[in-house]
Amino acid sequence: MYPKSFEYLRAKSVDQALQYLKENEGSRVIAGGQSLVPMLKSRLYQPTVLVDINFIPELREVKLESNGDLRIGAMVTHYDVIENSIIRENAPILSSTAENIADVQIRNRGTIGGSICEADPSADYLPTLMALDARVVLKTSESTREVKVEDFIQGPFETVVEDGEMLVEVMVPSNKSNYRVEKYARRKADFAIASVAAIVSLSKDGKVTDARVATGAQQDKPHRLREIETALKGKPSKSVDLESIIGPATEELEPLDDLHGGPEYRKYVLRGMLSRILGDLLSGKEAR
Amino acid sequence: MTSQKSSTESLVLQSEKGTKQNVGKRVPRIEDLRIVKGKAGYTDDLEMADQQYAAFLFSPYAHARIISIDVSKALELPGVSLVITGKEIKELTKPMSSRAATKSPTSHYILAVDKVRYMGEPVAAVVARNKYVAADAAELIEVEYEPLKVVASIEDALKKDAELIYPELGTNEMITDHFEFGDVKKAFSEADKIVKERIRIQRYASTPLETYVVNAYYDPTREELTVYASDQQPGRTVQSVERTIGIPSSRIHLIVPPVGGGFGYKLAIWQYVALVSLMSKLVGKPVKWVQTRTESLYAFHRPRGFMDAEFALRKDGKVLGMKLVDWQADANWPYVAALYSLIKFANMSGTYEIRNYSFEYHCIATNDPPIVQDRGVGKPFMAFALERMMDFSAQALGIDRVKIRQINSVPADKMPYTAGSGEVYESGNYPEAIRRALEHSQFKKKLEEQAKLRKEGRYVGIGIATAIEPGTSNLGYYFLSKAGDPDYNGAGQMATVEVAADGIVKVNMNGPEIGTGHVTTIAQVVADVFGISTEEVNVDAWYDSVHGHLTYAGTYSNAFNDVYLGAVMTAANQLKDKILNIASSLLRENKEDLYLSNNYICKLDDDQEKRLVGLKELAKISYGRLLSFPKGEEPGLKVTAGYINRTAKPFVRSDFNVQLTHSNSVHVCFVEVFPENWNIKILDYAIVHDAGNVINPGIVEGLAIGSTVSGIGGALYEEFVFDEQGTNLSLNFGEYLKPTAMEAPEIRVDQMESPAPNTVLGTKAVGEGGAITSLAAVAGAVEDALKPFNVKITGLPITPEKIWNMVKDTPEYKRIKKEGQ
Amino acid sequence: MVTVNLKINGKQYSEETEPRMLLVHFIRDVLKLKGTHIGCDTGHCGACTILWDGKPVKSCQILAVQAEGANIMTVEGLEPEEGKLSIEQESFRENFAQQCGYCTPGFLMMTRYLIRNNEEMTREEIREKLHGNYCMCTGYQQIVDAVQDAQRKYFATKK
Repeated sequence: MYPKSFEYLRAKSVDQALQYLKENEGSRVIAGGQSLVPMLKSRLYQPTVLVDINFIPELREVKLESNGDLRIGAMVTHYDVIENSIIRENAPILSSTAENIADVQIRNRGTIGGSICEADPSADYLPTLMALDARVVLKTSESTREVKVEDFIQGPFETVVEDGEMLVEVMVPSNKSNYRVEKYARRKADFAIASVAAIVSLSKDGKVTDARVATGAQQDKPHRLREIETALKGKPSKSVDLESIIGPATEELEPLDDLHGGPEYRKYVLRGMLSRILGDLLSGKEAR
Repeated sequence: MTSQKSSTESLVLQSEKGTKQNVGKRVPRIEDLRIVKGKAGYTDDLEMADQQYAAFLFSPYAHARIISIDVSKALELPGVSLVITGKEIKELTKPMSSRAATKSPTSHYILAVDKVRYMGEPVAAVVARNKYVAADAAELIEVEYEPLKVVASIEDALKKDAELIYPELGTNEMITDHFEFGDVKKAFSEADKIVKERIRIQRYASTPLETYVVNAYYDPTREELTVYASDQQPGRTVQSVERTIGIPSSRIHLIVPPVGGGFGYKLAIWQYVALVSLMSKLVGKPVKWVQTRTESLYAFHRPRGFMDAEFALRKDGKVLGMKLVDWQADANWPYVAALYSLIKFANMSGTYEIRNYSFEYHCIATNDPPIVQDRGVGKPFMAFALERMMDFSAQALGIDRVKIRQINSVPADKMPYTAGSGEVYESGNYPEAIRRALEHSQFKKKLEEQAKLRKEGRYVGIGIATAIEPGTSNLGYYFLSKAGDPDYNGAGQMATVEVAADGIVKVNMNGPEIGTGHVTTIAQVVADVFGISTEEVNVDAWYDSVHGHLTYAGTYSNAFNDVYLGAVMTAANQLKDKILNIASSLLRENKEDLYLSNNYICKLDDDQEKRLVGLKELAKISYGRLLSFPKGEEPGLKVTAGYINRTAKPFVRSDFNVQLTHSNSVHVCFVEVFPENWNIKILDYAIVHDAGNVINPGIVEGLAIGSTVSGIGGALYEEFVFDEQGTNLSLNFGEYLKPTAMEAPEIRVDQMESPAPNTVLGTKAVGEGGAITSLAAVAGAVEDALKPFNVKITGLPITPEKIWNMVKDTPEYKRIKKEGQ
Repeated sequence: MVTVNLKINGKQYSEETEPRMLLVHFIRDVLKLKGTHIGCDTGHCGACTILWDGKPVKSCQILAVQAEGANIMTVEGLEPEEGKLSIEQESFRENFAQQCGYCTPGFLMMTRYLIRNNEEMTREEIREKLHGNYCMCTGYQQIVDAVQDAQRKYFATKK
């Protein structure tokens, strides 16, 4: 497994990276490389120019805004997402999500920005970021725009990133509510057969004040299950009949069909997970 | 073969007074000193001067005609020195022949000629100055294919208008035969119950972490080929390279550095040894090829197939007879067709006394890729089928599954036992192994726990399986179905033992070291013969064909503990005898009074050990000071000895033995199945393993555990999946699922020792038992866990999705789903 | 060609490479450190695991040019002094934690990292942390034994 030749440009700053991208048509950013390098090796992907953003310190920063939002640099590794105390405290669901990714070695090298841009339907971060209403910051040498993660992902391995554009930051609203994030796969490092990220807040009198539920590995892209969210919001948690909500809300799904699981089975697993996870959250069980 | 006396005991008696005892001890492995430093020196770690690299282009089609190949762009690439295709291969090489099949095609070459028969078949090869350029060049080769109708299954292959894999043979059925032992008709006519089932096996494979690596240099000045390869059966490779590319075997110098895992996979490397060697001859430079993982997953697996098994049962559980019809999709490469079926004679009746049985087999060519003799070959499937049938028989008769196994076990007092076909179980105590397994696994306690958990709505199950683990191939069974005398056999090997000129004891077992602890095991054995410590024995981990070897030399078929140790012991004892002769002559002492201890020739003087002369001194005399060397002996202290296990029988269809030693195991597996996703977790795994005398318990236990986890992979995770176009969809470890440390259970091994009377040290097969026995133990446990759903497991791997599909229409499923709401 | 400057096992190297060369090939073929192995090509098996600034990464998933300025340790760097085995090496040997040994360097690098960066690990935790390393021979049990043993030995040196 040997990549085809390409030109390599090492950027030392965001501006330099954007300049490289602008000047070289068909160039592509390499972040942690944990998905890209295997694709280069198998020659499934043959870029002519690679712009390396590993040597840009500013992309590895994690900042807490005064409004409680987190700004996470694109090159923050999964390891850092797990270990970083600011993230752990303000978006603990994100740290827990990173724990589910691949293995120790890949978490040390793989990055949040790279993973988001990969747009794998079974990717670990995407349901969580969607549940958190996270946005990504995209830059070109001329402009900056913010896009909701939900809108950023277009389809399997497809995003809205345009030529000359680069994801520099992930903006994650703080959320310390009770949550669950789980994936089911045959082996831990495998892509999920079904995954769920759920955040539920209950008022003191047991009413659901906020519910966010997202799933991955079901359709061509991860998405929020808004029907479930709407059905839960405002309800007294004790009186929710989950089965009657989950069934119809997942009826229309057309899950993936591959070696790891057929569509009907994926849906079955998802329903089981949703039912247990939401049951736990509605009864106020704390994570771990 | 009447004595069951421990051979370790006889070794102890043979060994000298005052010497250390190493056999039977948990001696840390000598080879690990290099391994843990990253200095094992695998084939890919070696380079030659002016090293060139090869790459292959593999077929993306499972079945297609090659219309044209354009190599011009590849040849134009700077750094490329050679491109070869089927055209050159047809001119320069001879086709492969079938070993067991009665038919041999004329169009089966080491590189595709005119047509491709599986996805991943090599169609062209390049040589370039480095690996990257070689890969670039392979990509530039343009092949025009005309797709042919794909033969995707055994059923497809047998259709009247089926496309033929080898049109010149006129059929896709490469070989078929029928054998009958005892009175099967009578057994079935007397049966109280007949149980019949079709049992299936998927395509799966051991996947050693090191892939195929070949590094060849044909020296035109000496007209000699030197080739390094990660090869498990180099003796045969030498023969096959001679046959296909025409270099005389005496001019082939094949070297095998330590191998990064064998498992049978590396028996098929010879095709690439031949190809790379030919390429080196054509470019006049050393050429190296390192297979990628994807390339390694294309081919050389276990075949998929099925067995129609029918048991004639007496109502008390006694199996009166059985009819077995075996169908294997194993003939894409006719070279190895029928091997999976024929070797089943080694464990066909398992640990049971079943006197009447018939076996019919059909080996079918499909567009499934070639197979190889993967760990245990057909024996894991044979044991799986047999043990599943035992469970089904117990269910049908309403008797306990342990009891049915006990009733049918070969009684201890009937050992050695000759099975219906002639297979001789030379040793073992099967009823005792079951008894110990029940105790070791806390079987009774597990049953109680299961009953309790079931009441709580949990699905836990226990599986038990007992199986034979044969060793040492009497390979001529390849000739059971065709005329002629076998010109090869696995019942012997050669080894070399020497005291070098510097006084160091050296051993070369003249076979590849594939990771199974041979270096240390040999060091332990030889240390005891010479009365020294294991560190003082220098065992060469390299195979080198210039040393004495037999034509089927290799590390395969669980034969090390029999024939290689036999050869090593023979050589060591001959050398010791020679040393004592020389010493006796030099010292004018009675030979009978002399012995070896701590590198000295000693004798007892008033019960005190007296050192007479050092081995170093004796070596000096033997190699150099020839004027002092006694008359009547040859100078030098080097002995190459051959050894044959004489219990190998000639092949007669009514009475033959396929293998020569028979270890056995009982596995008890305890699982839970979780209805949220039907995932399976192994909660406990207990093994009773009887491999005769154990030379190193650390090594033997590791092999028992490791082979079991490889079986668990086959039972629960591993399968090569093909679409209807014959496309292999499992070409990396994200799609072909190996168990990791998280999937592997904690395994408890209880080692029993029934020594083999027909091996020099009472040792027998070790490396395959887990792979053979575990499939049925796991399947039985899962089926037992799912008892409330009343499902039957007749195929593998058992995946959660398959379970869901089996249970989802059952009343129990509907009940729990209703309750859950 | 690009020049890569990096430190491996305390030694500074400066070598030219094509940008497309993988770090594992650079280590093996250019620097001739043959202890780091390639087992799967796709980042699953961990045979190519090295320590990068003390943390394990898979060297077949990284380009050599990306290792500019990196501080790397490979299996050849484990021995504290010539002829003396490290705690990890000793434990692997004493526990029969390797058969063919091809995966062992990767497991040893993981062990070096894990025993120093975790509280006492249970067997289950060890299994969880090692799932990115494949062993086709041992069935993992004796590897888990070795890691536990190594951690015990490491803690004993800290007392």
